[in-house]
Amino acid sequence: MSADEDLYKGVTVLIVEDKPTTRDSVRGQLRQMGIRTITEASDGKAGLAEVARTRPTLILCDVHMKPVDGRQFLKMVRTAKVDWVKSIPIIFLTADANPETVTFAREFQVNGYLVKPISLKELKGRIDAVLKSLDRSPTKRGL
Amino acid sequence: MRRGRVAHVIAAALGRASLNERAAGDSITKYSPPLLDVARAAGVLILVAEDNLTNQIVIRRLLAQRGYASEIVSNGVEALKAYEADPSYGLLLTDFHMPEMDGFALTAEIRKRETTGARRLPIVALTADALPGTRERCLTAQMDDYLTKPIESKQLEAVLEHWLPKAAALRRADTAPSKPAKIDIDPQIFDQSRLVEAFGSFGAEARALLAQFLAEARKLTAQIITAMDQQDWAEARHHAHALKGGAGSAGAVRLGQVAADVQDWLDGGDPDTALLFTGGLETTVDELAEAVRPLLARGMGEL
Repeated sequence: MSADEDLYKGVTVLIVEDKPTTRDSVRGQLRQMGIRTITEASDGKAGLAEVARTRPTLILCDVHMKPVDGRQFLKMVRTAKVDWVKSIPIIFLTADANPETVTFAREFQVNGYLVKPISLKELKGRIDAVLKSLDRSPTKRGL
Repeated sequence: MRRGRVAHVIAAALGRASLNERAAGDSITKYSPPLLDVARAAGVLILVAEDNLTNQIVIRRLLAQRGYASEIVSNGVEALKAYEADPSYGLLLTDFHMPEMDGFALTAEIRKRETTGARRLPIVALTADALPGTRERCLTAQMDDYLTKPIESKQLEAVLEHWLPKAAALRRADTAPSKPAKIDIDPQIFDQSRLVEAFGSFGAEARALLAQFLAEARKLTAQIITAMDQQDWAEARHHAHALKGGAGSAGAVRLGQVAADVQDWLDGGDPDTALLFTGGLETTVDELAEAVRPLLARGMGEL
């Protein structure tokens, strides 16, 4: 098993993004990396339901979405009362690098902030760093 | 070396047996059960009291696969009626929670009737919630052992061999090996091995059960959502518990987990968080329906 296969084993990535074309391209990049389990939602509300359902290892999240945007989604996840929910790493994917959003993202402990368009190298670099920082022993993710 | 779970845990605590022992050896021989009348006459017929339809079918099949004949009733009242009509059952498997009369009341009623000199009926509880203290609760209630749902074939066998040893002589070994299902489905969504274990293969019966569970899951999901809307937490909890149980038997892993999350957070007095998980239920049922479509669409032929 290669180092990447090992790192991505058992990993589920949730993409929260309203534009289907962007979802397609991010999903394509994840598949290219070798990540097999990918789940998607088109706004923060659907994203939260998807979190509850699929217990993702990592979330890639757009900022501008309706009705529930990425900032609200980040806040809902971080303030959830369920430990495994609030500790899920979230990486923002956005064309918007305005200081206010960055400050907000920091305040709610975003785990990465990638500015679109995002290259495969950038995406993989950030995801790998986040996954390596996680303790993913099976006992930590059970019921 | 196989014993009932309670006896086994005690044995393990005393250092006489290792808990891992039960997990050892993966090969399972398939059996056919004796006819109902034969089993009844020999005093080895198992009475099963369980209200969930999916669980009923799976338990009956699991027992049949292991060579045990069973009779199924839907609640404690029916079970007591059956017992009073003929107390020669070899063992009672009873759910904790049932309408009409639950497993505890049923056990109390049976034990009351036994004081007149009748043979003591081994009573094994079935529970979806293996909480600390379950063993003590069972023993205090004069039950003899318990099994956690979804029931695993090997644990069931260990418990039956311990409490109903004479039934083993009546079962007939089957020679045909069971065939595993072959359609590739994400095991997080649907674990085929659960029904293959119960039915021997993924044939017409397993498909019928799965289709029936899907319909039941849709109904329960709608009931949970309605109850949550009406802030009727007890009602929502009741349906979430039923959904968790059925999903466990059917092999709907993710659906079972989401339903368990709903139940657990309601039990924890946190409906807001339970609502978070309720939000994922419908999609999960859809996802399951989609995933098993090729299995259900398959013709009558075995895989």
